[in-house]
Amino acid sequence: MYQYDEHDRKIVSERAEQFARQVERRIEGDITELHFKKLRLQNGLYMQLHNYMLRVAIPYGLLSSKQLRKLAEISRKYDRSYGHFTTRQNIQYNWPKLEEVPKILRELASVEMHAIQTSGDCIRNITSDHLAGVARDELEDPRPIAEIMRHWSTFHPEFAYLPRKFKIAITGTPDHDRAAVRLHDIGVRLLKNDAGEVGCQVLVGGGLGRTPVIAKVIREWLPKEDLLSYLEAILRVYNMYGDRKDKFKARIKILVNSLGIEEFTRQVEDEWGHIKEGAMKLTQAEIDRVTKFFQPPPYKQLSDSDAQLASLRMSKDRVFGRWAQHNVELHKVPGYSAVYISLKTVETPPGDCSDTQMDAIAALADDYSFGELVVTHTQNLVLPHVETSRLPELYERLAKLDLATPNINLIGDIICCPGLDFCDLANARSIPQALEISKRFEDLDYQHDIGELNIKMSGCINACGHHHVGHIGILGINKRGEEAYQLALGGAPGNDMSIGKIVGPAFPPEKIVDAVETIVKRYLEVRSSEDERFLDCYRRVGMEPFKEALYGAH
Amino acid sequence: MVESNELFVVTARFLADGAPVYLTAAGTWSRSLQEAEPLALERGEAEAKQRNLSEQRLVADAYTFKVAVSGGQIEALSARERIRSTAPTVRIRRPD
Repeated sequence: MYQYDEHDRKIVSERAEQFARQVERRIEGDITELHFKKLRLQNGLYMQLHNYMLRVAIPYGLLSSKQLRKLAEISRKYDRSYGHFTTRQNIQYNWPKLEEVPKILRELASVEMHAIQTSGDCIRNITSDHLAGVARDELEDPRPIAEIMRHWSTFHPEFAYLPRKFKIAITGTPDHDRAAVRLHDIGVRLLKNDAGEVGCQVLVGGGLGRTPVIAKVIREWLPKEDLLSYLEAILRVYNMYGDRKDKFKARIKILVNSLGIEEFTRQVEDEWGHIKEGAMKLTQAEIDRVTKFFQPPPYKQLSDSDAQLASLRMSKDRVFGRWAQHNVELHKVPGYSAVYISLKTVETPPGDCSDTQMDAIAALADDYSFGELVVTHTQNLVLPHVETSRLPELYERLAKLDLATPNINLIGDIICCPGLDFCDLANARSIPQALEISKRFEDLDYQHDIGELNIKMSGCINACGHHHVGHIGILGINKRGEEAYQLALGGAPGNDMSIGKIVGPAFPPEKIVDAVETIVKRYLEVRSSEDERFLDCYRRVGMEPFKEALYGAH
Repeated sequence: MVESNELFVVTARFLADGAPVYLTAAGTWSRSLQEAEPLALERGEAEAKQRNLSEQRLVADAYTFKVAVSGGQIEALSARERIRSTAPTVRIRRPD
């Protein structure tokens, strides 16, 4: 993974000290809250419903075991002994005290981490495929380009104050987008051109929130050397013409929609023409320099283990067999597997991880995965380099930590934002309903029978829980001061992306779990076979059977 | 439209930890909603505005929200303020 050089260490350290002085001045009353708010947001510090919240950047989700131990330690010393992994591959602490935040930032800097640009109207954390570098279907590891984009966007002087936040994602597996690039302000897909060269397809104007939009292609293919200058051109057009009066119309997707993709492209290409041969042109030497940080770990020379994994999936221990089936991915290196650590149980808020679990996972990363792990945007973790022959012993250790629930991509693997229990923006709680749904579908045989079904839940229209692209999406709303929940069906985040459609009137809190169960039961009744996934079934039969099940014939 | 008999409470957040606090009759801030002073909207808004200016070192983001008072108990009339005045409704690993 990327290692800071002297310059990186200096600027992160100096930023922590700068914020320390800003905090002192705020506490002394030299800066008003109005002015301090922008400064604290630039350092990832929110004021939430009950407390401050600090969001720590985890670039494209990649963590070392040393960093994870530090995150555990911070949670113990300055928080309440847990952290929350987010849908942007970051981690959040919900209970820091203002005067201790500079200490947290110093501790993060000691392990090459920070909270810079994790909030505010700037370019946020670059996200990517959680199986980057190991997926068998990957065209090329996207992490070097992700890191180059991170360098470019961090402290970019021209884009420190954009009309609104800006999110970029990249995938190196164009046929299987695990990074949901089409949901981002800019999405980058590594693709081959007709000559077989790997370059970048650039998409623009995606996003969820009030106005969900699937990103459009602005450039079919660019050589990598032109990527940064092209991104710069997009950001310049956005910075110039994005709405600064109405924050609900300020995302780039609104600008792209209002101009139309052809006119927006024309303006970007025009801007790009002035800068493409300038300082932003990437050299092969620079690409090679960064790529060196992502060389494969010292894998053993092992035989192919597909048959072994298939055998483990048929284990007489059905729970283990299901874990091997759902929580283990095929790997590009013979003899290895990538292992999901599910952070979704019936008792723990989705994405939450205790300090003791973090310490234990760090040890597992050291023992099984060359000290590396990845945060997924679905709020789980991945150990990316596990010898297939060692899966049974890893499973035993995960099970003792309550981290081996075999529910990846099943109904128990719910994406869920913090909701009104924590978030100042939320209209309704999301965690209690997610836990109740988990409990209702706790039976693993039932989950297995239902098959692939992604529930995504947001406590408000900002859609941090990605409800628009859930097979079942749940949105918390405010109905005359009280919580209610809207159901949507048919969303999907990958290459076959679709925005879910609202089923009908919202449900009160005490009815939403029953409603979800009704949907599932109707699916089981109408699916063409046990192998027909929920999403495929919905796309075949449409909304009517589900609407009728929920609201009666009309 | 605000009815003349509607009651409001002034709330803010402690600067130190961001915790919600409520303005009492004594003019101090309490972490307990039950110790708040219910006020008419106009007075509440004036208090919030004045505290935002004069108590920057103690609190931030003062505003008013509607409450009902019954049997000596103050009840927030929105789900948001109810949850805000108590605690998250989910288990916290270390409640402190």
